Amino acid sequence: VNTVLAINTLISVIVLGSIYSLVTVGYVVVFRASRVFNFLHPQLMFIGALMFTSVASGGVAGFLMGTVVSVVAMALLGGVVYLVAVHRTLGQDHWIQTILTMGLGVAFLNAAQFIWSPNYRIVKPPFKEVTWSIAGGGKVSSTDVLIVVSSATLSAALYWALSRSSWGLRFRATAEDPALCAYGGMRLKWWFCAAWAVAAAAAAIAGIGYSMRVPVDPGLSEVGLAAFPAAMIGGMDSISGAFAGAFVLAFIQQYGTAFWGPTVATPIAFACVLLLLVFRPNGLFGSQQVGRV
Amino acid sequence: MMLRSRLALGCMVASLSLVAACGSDSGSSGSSSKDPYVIGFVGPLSGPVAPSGVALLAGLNAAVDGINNSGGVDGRDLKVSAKDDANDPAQAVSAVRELKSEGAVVMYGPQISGLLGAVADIVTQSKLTTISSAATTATLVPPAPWIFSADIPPQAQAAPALDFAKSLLNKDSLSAGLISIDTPAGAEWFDNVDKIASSEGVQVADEEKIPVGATDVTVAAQKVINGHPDAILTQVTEQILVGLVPKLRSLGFEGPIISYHAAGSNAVLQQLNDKGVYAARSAAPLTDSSDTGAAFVQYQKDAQAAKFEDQANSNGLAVNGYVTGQIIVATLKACGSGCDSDSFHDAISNLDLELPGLTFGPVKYDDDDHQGLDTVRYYHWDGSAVVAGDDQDYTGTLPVS
Repeated sequence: VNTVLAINTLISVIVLGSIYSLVTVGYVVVFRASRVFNFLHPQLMFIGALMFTSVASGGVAGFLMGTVVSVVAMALLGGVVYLVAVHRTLGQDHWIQTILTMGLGVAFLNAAQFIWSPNYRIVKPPFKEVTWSIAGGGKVSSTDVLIVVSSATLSAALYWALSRSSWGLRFRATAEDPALCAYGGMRLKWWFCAAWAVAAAAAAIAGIGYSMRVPVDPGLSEVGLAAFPAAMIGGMDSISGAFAGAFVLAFIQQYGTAFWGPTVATPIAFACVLLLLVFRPNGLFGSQQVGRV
Repeated sequence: MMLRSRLALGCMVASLSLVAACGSDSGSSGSSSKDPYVIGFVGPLSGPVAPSGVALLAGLNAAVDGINNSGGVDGRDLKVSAKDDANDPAQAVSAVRELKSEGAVVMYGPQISGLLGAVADIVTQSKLTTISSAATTATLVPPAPWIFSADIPPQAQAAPALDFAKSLLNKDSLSAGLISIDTPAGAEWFDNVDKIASSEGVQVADEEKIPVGATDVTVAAQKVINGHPDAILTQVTEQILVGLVPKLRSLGFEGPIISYHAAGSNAVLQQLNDKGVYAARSAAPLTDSSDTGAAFVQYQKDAQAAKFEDQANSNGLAVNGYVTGQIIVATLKACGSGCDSDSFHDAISNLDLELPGLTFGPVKYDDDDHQGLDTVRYYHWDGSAVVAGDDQDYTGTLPVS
């Protein structure tokens, strides 16, 4: 691994980690609210990107308009999915809800292919691609910068909203002690619904971001699934852990590929996740679960 | 009373037997001489690889609609029975059984090499002629008796890619970087390039694999560029090619990027807007204004009638579905009226089909050669249209030695 490869791999870690972080935060938000592993999330990422291709027109204004419309539409879809399907299983074991999201994932993937056709679509960046050289032979493209900057901005906003704002405080409270919140008059149903909406919106943004690098096709949902280990690394109920886990996963995958090739890198990434879970079952930043008998 | 009942029952059985006898066809498995020929299609119509299956099916349907609109084959229409295997071997096996029970004379598919391997035994046992876009060395060398290739296999495109690179760069020797999808077919293509590289005057600078579900291609791109190749040859999916080309360019590679035939549709070449990206084609793209051969003109008519133009331009595999449709039609015509599965197999085993303007060489099968197509031409985006990179055709056959 020479210097140029090392630097460009680092840049790819930052770009990929930025996309993963938006996907991962969606997993975490839903898990925090309802203790459900949401395997519908990758398909929401795919559908968000598809919706963008239908709505967005050319230029910066068209791109922004397409993003806003897609994100709002996906937030609504996420909320509706919770109200119509997931909420009805409230009180059931969480594994039932997890299986439900898997089933919904298959249904949504096929419905998306039916609505938009299985053909792939291409997302064009809103400006002409430019590449800049940096020290050590590294290359950064304008699309990379757009992905990282927009992802960092949205991640910061999400982190503030979920961890620092009064809205976030209530949100955390519903996740940590729903019974107490219900006694206090909070309408849990709508708070959980909001969590699903936020997660779906984040998925849409991640889907649009990733689609600037590859065509929008059903394989996009596999990218969403590939980010799931990041949530486990960071801790399924930790927002800051979601961001950390995303970059750790991207680092392992990319440098694993650089050193040992792609065939070895994927098993190494999952081996690291397993190893971490052996020693820190709640991930790097996940909270300890106390079981009382 | 008992006698009358038995007599009535006997008459009823005799009548039913007579009706059944009148309805049956002496040469086929229960189908009437007026019934349409059933053409089976098996491919991924849902799931992550659905775009390829949908494109191939659209091409097949355009060809079938075209022949039906002109009166069918010997007065019989063709009917496509499409089965979705969802890229799942178990579903592919079920699809073969269903098609056999429906009386299909031929099956087009499965379209993924692993699935073709999964159905190879049942196809042989049930004697169902199978034409597949995913035939590989495993089924072509020596040829499996009931499996025929619908297209030039990826593994056979070692020599064409190297010859085209040398012609393009006007060099007798050059350095080439290879990037392939991480599949057995990709590994075999690497081996085949390595086998002939030295005799072709080519030094292989680096070989990189990209997983099917790769989330990033930066590392593979940079590693290949580190070998300072004159040209980069790729066998990656269209989806990966769209991300790979800009990455190679942004990392500083300025030479030609030469793709195999299954990636680099008109839409992708236009989207990439890169005159240095060349894609092999085993059949002419719909927009090729230089082609005026009879088969190409018919292709344009059928595509227009089937409203198939967008599909043909957005996925390079669509035309291969159409070509396969023409192979099936030609075989049915050669087979004669009352063609069944056995006689279809006999006919295709001696097929020598010219498709002027549409393919760059004949589709030719015999007992020792089930590859069929072996010629490609390279196309690129010249800034305003997708045009041939040069006027030459390049051939590649299996096995490579």
